[in-house]
Amino acid sequence: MTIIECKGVVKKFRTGWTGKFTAIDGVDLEVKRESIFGILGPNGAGKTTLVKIILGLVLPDEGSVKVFGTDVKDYKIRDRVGYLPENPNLPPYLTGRQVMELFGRLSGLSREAVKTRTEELLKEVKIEQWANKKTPTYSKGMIQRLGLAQALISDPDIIFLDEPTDGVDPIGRKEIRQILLELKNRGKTIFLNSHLLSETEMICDRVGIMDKGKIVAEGGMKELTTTSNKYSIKCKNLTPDIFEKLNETASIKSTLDGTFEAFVENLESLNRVLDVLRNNNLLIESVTPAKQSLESYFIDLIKDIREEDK
Amino acid sequence: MKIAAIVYDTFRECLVKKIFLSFFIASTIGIIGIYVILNIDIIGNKVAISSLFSKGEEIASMEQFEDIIIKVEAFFAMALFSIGLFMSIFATADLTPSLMTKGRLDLYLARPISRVQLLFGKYCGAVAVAAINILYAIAGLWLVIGIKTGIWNINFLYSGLNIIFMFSVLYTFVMLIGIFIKSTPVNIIAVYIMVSLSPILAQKDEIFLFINNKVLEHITDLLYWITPKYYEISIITKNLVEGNTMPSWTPVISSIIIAVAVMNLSLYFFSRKNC
Ligand SMILES: Nc1ncnc2c1ncn2[C@@H]1O[C@H](COP(=O)(O)OP(=O)(O)O)[C@@H](O)[C@H]1O
Ligand SMILES: [Mg+2]
Repeated sequence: MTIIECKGVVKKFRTGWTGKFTAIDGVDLEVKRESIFGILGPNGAGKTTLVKIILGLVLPDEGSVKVFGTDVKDYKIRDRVGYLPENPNLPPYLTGRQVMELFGRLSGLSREAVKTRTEELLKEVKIEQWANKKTPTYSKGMIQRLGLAQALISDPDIIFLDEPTDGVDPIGRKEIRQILLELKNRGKTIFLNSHLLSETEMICDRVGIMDKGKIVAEGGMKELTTTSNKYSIKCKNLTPDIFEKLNETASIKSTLDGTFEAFVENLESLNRVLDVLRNNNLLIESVTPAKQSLESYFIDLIKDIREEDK
Repeated sequence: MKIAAIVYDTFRECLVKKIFLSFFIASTIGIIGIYVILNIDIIGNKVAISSLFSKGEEIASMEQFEDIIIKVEAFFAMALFSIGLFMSIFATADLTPSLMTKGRLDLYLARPISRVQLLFGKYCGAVAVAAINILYAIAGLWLVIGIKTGIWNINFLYSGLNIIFMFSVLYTFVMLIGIFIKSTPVNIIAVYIMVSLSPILAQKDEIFLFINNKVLEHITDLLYWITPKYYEISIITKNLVEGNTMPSWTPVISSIIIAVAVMNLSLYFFSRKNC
């Protein structure tokens, strides 16, 4: 089921008196239920602007945005939405607990519901002992935790998180990841903006890569990170003549420690390579599909785009 | 009841401000001061006022005395109409810019409330804060004066409503300016200038008996019609306290129309604002 649907979204910001800057340049996007969708992109790519458009906080110049099949101009869809903005600016005159109560009330929860949810969530994000302190005394990591808690107060079906682990220590990051995975298991959809590749790679099911206001690539995490027909084979004592032989069926790249990577067309070729190795009585230690990290995929992609631009 | 939540939030935001507290303390000192200092002795038809500093002196007949007290009340009403009003504006002027600081508005608007509800809630919150300040001062003064002198001038109490009304009109301007200008001092100065012009604008007809410039006259007319009738309402308030006959309620009606128009402008611009 499609939860978020963007069609031809364009947003231009005014710069100076006459200039216009296209921050979002024709974005089409669909996000399905019960998944963690990540938007990756360099700083200034337009990730934050895109999320704000999906939430109806920024009005697009062109295109349409629907959440749960309803146009985002209708504020009532936000009954089912939670949002942790980038660098949340919590009301400085409130304590952590009061922040939760305020946004719980604004979400339309009853007084009792707000109370119980607040205590649950403060515990979950581990800031109960700070709950009665005013927010200006919080560290960046604590602000993010409270920001996450307030986003979850109404038990929303979709949660938007803009750089949620920004300024959070490694343990905190892991805890936040666990919370997100648990939410997904409970059937929630998560829309995550990040410029942190490893993090996105760890929890997202799908990613869209954004650059200069455009989605330049989109796919499942597995599709993007496994390159087909590429296997890494580990084996000892490779002699030059066997190397020659292998080169007939596959392109081989050897490395110093005796492992080598074989690029093959298909599984038959892979097996032919393995036959050659076995026939020569070489001991195969392992065969694994070569995995490309999301990072290298991302960097290659952005590099390609930059070169095309020139 | 989401508007109620915003009003409550606005309240808490103002409460932490020193200016709110200073207003409250100043009112309290005034009220207690009068209670302690003022002593009245009524002997037959004559009244003697004594204070901590002077022994009772027979000064006036009952009628003259009542007149004096009502003048004093009118003075207090005028002080609140000017100083009290401006302290209330000081205490509330940065509510809109504060709501619109980077990363704050997002948090509110990500909730199932409309922008109209949000801004209107902030407005109601500001008016409620000012109303409590002003009513506390007026009701307190009315009470001690009543207790001490036996003169219960209900019109003095009503004048509090005039002051709150004036605040709610001026605050629509504060809000509109606040959407565009982050600086609270600039905002307050702008409103102050508008208010200072109002006696001149109110007496434009007399002034233009002596000046013969059609363009200037049209500009003055326009300014008169688009600004709140602060000066005229202050006169109404004074007359109200003193129990005089009212000149005309037109300035009140035209101020209401202006306030509604300005409020709608604010809502319009606020709805188009990107976070
Ligand atoms: N309100 C705004 N006015 C003008 N320019 C903006 C505004 N918001 C964002 N931008 C510009 O749009 C571009 C995209 O910003 P943003 O969406 O924050 O990127 P990201 O989140 O990917 O880092 C940036 O170049 C930024 O300067
Ligand atoms: Mg961003």
